[in-house]
Amino acid sequence: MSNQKNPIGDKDGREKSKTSAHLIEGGIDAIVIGAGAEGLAAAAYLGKAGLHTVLVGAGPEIGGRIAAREIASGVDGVDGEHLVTVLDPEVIAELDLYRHGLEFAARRLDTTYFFESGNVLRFDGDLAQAALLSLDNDDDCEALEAFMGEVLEMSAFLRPAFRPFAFPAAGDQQRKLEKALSGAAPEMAARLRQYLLSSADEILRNRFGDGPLRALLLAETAFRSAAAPGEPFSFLSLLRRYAGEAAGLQGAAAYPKGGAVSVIAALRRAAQAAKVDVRAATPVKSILIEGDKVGGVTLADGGQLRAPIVVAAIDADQAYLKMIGAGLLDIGLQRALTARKPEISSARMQIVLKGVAQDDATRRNMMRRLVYAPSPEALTKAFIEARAGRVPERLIVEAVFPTALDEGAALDKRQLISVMAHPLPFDAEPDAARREAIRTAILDSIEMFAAGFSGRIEADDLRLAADEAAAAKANPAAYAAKPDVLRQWALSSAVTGSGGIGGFYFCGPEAQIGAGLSCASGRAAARAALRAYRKGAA
Amino acid sequence: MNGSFDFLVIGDDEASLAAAGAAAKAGARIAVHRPSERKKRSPAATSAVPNFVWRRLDLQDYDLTLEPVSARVTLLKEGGPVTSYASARETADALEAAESEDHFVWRDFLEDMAALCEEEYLTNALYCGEAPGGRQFAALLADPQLLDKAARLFGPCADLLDDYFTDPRLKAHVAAHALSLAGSGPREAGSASALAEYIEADAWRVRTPKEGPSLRAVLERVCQDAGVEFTAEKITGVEPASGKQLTVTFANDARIKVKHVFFATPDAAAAAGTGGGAMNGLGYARHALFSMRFRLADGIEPPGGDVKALYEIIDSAEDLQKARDAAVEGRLYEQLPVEFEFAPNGELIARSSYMPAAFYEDGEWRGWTGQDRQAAAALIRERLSSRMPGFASHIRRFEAEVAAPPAGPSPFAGCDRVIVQSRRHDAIGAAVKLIDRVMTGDE
Repeated sequence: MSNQKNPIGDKDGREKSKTSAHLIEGGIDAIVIGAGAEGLAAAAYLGKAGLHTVLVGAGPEIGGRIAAREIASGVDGVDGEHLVTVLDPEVIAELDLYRHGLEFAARRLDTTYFFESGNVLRFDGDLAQAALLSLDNDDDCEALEAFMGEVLEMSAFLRPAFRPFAFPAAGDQQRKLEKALSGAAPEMAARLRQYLLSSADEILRNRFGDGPLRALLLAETAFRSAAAPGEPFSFLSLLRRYAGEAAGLQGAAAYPKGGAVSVIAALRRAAQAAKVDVRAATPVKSILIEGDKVGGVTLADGGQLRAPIVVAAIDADQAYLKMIGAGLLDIGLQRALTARKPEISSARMQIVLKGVAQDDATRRNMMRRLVYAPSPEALTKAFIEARAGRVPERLIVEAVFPTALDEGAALDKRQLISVMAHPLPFDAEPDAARREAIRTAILDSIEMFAAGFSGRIEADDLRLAADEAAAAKANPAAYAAKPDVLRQWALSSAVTGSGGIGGFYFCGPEAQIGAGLSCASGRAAARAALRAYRKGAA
Repeated sequence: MNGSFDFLVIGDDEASLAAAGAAAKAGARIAVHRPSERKKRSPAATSAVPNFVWRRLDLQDYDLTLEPVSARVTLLKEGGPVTSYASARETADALEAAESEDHFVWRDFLEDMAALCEEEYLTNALYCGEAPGGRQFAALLADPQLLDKAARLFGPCADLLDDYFTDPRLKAHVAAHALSLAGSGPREAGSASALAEYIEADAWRVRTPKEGPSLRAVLERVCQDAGVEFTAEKITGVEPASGKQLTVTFANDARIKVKHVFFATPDAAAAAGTGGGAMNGLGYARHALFSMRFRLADGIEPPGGDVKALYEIIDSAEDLQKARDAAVEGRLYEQLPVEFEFAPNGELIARSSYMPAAFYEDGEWRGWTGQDRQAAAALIRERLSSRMPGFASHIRRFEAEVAAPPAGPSPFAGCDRVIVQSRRHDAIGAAVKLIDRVMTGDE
């Protein structure tokens, strides 16, 4: 597995486990379990605050689902996220990630949308301007601009609600949220109700009729969400997606130099600068609970790390059911954990293409984010199919060309294209036939806007939720598509409620509202832990 | 008819009339628009008339008797019928007699569903058009228990049922009855709210006996006594007038001003071509209610022989979801869930909400045609025959009706003072509450 080009690891790409078997190690202030982005962020915050922090990761590599891997001879791909859309700006600033090497090769990527009808729309990356470069109808242009203005205003307003839940003090949280949300003007409150409860399809149809804008926005709403566009609460997904944009982040979509692994590398450097003791290949067996408090962790090799704070940045099943044990959890949390029945997932595909682009139009498109937006009917059908366990005919496809966006990654006479496709059925253990069916469906959907594309494929690499889970040694369900926002709120509030165990904080994938590399829940967990720690010290 | 009104209530079903009567008795000026030709028919069972509506309308002054439907029965493909009763005790006994382990939890289930509906914030937000302000919304987000309740109430009905029951036949029974009105699937987000609502006492359907006046006739008299004006003229235009009013024009050139247009059921709204709920490609509601009446020769009996019960035909619980998916995709579903009952005059009334509101064919949406009606009618006949052998040979006469939107643009398009009550099990009580709320909001 060791990869010379892996920018995350040290020289040999891994760290040695420092704990010897059957030894109890004390003098630690905080333990973070899980070496993914959220874990690194949480550890960096804790270390920065002066706590002696140990980060333990089960695998030999740091980074969790985000890892560099050779996908064809001489071509490195990056697993996990291919674009950064929701990375919390506070995390970038507070952890000084730019100083620690984070650099964006492209920000505010323009998007080109392709439609079933053969239409093409180019969309300026700056959503607030909503300037369409190629919409010939002025009415549509105005309608979109007005709509985007409303959406951004509403997203900014709802932004506090999309943040990960900040732990037990419900009263505090309510006061804070109330303060943020009570400034709502009456018309905003009316819109809030409409947007909260309605389906995306309903709202967009009322605004845009049958035009391409409806298909475009439906695709953006349904992308990576398990809520079909005709279902209640589905519109919130769109607001959540733009909530980051409203806060003036790096843009709707950004490509970090070196791919998402470079975000991990920067987080790791930030953690090291904060004197966090990072230990890879140190699997945790259980979390010690003493009375109603956490006492530390037991390692798989029999050793013990003792600390008054444990932050779990792993999936909730592992943290709560395996490491703590169902017997110690309250009924509400147990039900929240068992109630999840993932049905929908996304898939990631990296494709090496032979040859280089000949014409200017293609070359320009390679510097953009490309989205294939199926017709609303096809999309509705796709969700029904995926939910029934079948591979849909048409998929939403988001594609970027890392080799064109990032000069450092350019290949000779070849191109790497990275694709995220949605919606697909969720399989905990996909078989070869299912993989082939998904591969064909994705390639077919790409053919819809890039005819003849399949003929140029040199190699391709399909990665499903189950593969990511296997690589991160996690429960596959944690990597399925997120449910509708209301249920995400409920799940997130249940898992971060920590089951009443003092000193235990959770920032795994279930804590996050929506998909994407964010680090916001790691930050929230660390801040809550610090508050409690300082209160205890005082 | 001229002048200005607070509400124009469209439709003359029981829920519309109850809402119109209650509002008129509270002092509002009400006009009711009823279909121009209404055949005299033996009425189907309606939702119960809650006590508060009874008192508001002084129904004790009218000669009205109501009789509850005796039972809710589901006829699955295999095995005998599954039955539940208004009394929890009776249902539990019936389940026990059918050797279902789930009779232990039936009462808990009813209680928990009632508790789920209690949260006023949730029900208001969902049904009554009350906008949650920042404060209420924050309270929802900050309280894990409330959030959990909301997620359960607005989640899929199948999840809730799985939490309680193990018997697949009972789950199919409850889901079939709870969802049949709205044509939802048990895996659809939001379908749990229909389940919670169906369990309430006000959702138990009632009918008027053959001898007495029908509930509709009584409510019409209540409305007339309260000064409600009726019209049957075709509506030709609805336009916003000064600020808070709409101008409604009729075919006979009469013109009225109204503050709100009120639809007590989405079917009335769909028939008028305006929204309520999600839409499909033609801009209609995604499901259409298709109903049929059969005049039968003597000698046909429902399975079990109880003519006062309410029946659902489904093959298995999965068919509810599949039928809903088919309706959303714009096609007919072979194993269609069908609800039927016997009217006081002996007619059999069958209906299904799992019909597409429009059909999707060759990449295009199109409305209902005569052929579609025939196909749908044949399908329903076939479904009835599958549970009542020899049914087809007993049919003397039948008629079919679909609550799908008319061709052409709707006069209501683009009006924002149009209120549509969603399809509810307790339609009468809910319509009265909704019109009350709108009135209070105006003051």
